Amino acid sequence: MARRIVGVALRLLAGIALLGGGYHYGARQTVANMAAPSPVDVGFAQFMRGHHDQAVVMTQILLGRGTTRLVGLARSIQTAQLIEIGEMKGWLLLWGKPVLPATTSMDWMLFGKNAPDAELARYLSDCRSSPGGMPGMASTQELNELRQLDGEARDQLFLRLMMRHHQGGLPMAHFAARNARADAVRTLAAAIEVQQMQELVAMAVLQANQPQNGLGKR
Amino acid sequence: MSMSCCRTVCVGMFLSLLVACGNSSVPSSSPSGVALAECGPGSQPETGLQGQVPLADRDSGRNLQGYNCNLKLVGQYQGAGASVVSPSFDTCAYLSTSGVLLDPLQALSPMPGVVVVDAGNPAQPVATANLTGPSMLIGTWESLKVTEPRKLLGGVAVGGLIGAGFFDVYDVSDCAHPVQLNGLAGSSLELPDNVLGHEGNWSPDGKTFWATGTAAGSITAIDVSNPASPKIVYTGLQGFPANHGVEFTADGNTMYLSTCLPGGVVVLDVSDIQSRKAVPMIRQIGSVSWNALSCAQHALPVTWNGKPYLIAPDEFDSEGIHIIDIADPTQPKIVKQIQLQIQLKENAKLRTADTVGDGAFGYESHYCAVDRSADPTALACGYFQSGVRVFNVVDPLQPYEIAYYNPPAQTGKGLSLQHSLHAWIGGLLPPISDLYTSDSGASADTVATDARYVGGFVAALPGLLAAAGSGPVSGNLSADWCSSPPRFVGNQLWVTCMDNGFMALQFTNGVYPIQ
Repeated sequence: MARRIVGVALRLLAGIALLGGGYHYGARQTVANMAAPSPVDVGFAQFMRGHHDQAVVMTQILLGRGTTRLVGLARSIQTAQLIEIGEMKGWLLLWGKPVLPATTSMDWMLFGKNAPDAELARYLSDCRSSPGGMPGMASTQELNELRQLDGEARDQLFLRLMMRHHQGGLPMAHFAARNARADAVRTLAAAIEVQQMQELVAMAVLQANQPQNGLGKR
Repeated sequence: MSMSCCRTVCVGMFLSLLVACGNSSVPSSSPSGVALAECGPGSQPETGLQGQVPLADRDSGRNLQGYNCNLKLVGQYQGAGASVVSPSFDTCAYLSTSGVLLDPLQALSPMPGVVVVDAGNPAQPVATANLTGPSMLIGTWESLKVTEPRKLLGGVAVGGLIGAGFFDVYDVSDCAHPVQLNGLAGSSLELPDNVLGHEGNWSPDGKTFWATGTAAGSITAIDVSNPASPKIVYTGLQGFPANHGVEFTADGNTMYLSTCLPGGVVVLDVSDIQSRKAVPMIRQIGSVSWNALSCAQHALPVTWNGKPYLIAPDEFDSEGIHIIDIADPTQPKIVKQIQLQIQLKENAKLRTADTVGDGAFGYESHYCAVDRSADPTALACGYFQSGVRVFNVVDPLQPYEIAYYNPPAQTGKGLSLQHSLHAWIGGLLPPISDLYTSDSGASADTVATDARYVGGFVAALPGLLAAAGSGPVSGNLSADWCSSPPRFVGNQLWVTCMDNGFMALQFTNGVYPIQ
């Protein structure tokens, strides 16, 4: 088990290293680009806002009551994603676009610079077959289970749900970091990709290292 | 009622000119004005502008008699007053409370929590019970609502503006003797969990209770299929202006969400929640807004000639009521605005002078009801400061007033009105609702208006504090806050105002039913 976690961690770290280029690519171009947003810009802002929304709910459930050893992780995720939600909402308001999408279709990801490759086609297929239209989302039942548990059992469920949630959103961020028109959108998408891969590593480690006494702390 | 803006947080918590009756002329050149009621025998007409309780009346004591036009009082239960929204169902009314967080002494009173009033004999309404579930004690603000199909009363814990932690649901089959269905043992204590409750309402089938927050803009759907064990089926929309009243299409699939800042309505597809999909998502169908600085309260769906409309009162900026054509829900269109004379822009200075000592809310509309949802003939709306107003809306584009009842001011009675949010805290706050001088948007003299209000409040403060003997946190209580939804009951109108409590009113002079 530990060897598998280490393997996952190394692969994710390698991914982060590779992504560095993408992040810096966005970061270099910080001059405001006021051009009209593309379907990718709008789609990413609407759907990643919705995707983040559920992650924030999960952190609220965890931090709202009971005991957990994941306070630092949950606060970090919550803070980052609330800020990013605000950023995406701000763009949409400035663009005069609805904050929520009118559909659950992820077809905006068909408007990239290139025709969809096999990886993207697979992701879009996963989206179409996923409840809610995006892979990795927690169901109502899973969220209520999270509400009912406490302590290490809840921490483990939180980690499982949040890792799956992050993994479901990464291809969206990866795509937007390379295909959005606005510099700010590409930059944020790249930042999200890096940040969530780092969090995936952290969560994999936390998942593997259960406290022996089973007690958490606030 | 929302005091959600940061201004409220900063200052909030702690710290006759025309004859209105007797003519039917449109009161102003403003297209949003409505013709005045023609007051028949037995009326005590307003002495100033339509909707106004003039400063002269507040100073002379004329306001203690109240004002009425084609409506007379049949019976009343004042009790300890009521809070923001107190619903009525069957022969009963449920008087909400400002709550034990604002006034811990309420817990020691003989009837803490929500007081049940039976008006089976409207001439002699009597209290039959008090509800002491945690939400009921803490205060439900605008979330206390009844679902008629299922005969359930529900509300979330709000307390002072926003709160979290509890949802109570009662069986009101015997309306005078509600029975709580979700005891603490059957409902998780954290429910509704991360809700920042403020407003709330039932889906039309009564199987879902929706709660909205203000500060964080969150929305939560609670499955009440089994009232003994409510469960959350959706929570989210962080940062979305999901902050005020919710109403629905008859199938429960479309939500009309009223928003503050901007004042407007967002049309949302909530069918995933209504059908209990495993991973529900909310989609946006359309939206309309009218004032970046105002606050829509709720948006009542009705039809005229088979065509759908919304009736949306706004509680800020003297915006009054908007009627919205939603035949194309992707592009809702405002077709009519209803403002009382006192709400018109040119009367901003009068509003300031009149209301500066009477708390956070000036002359604002709040909750409305119609006599029927298909081809309504009459629209009744509760107002802060202006009482309850009734309009003929046979033609929604040409509404006119037919009656009003602005109950007697309860000046000096603050200490006995513990459950009235107006009499406890709300009345002492500086005005916040009407800082921008109306007329759908910030005006050039916004700054001057702000200064006028703030200056007026500061000037009035010594007088307010000197009245400590009559209620240390009450303000001058110079006009009531009638913020609850009125209800048409035969040829009567049942209303609850914060200071006067429950009142059964009778239409007179043949103005209703409308022939």
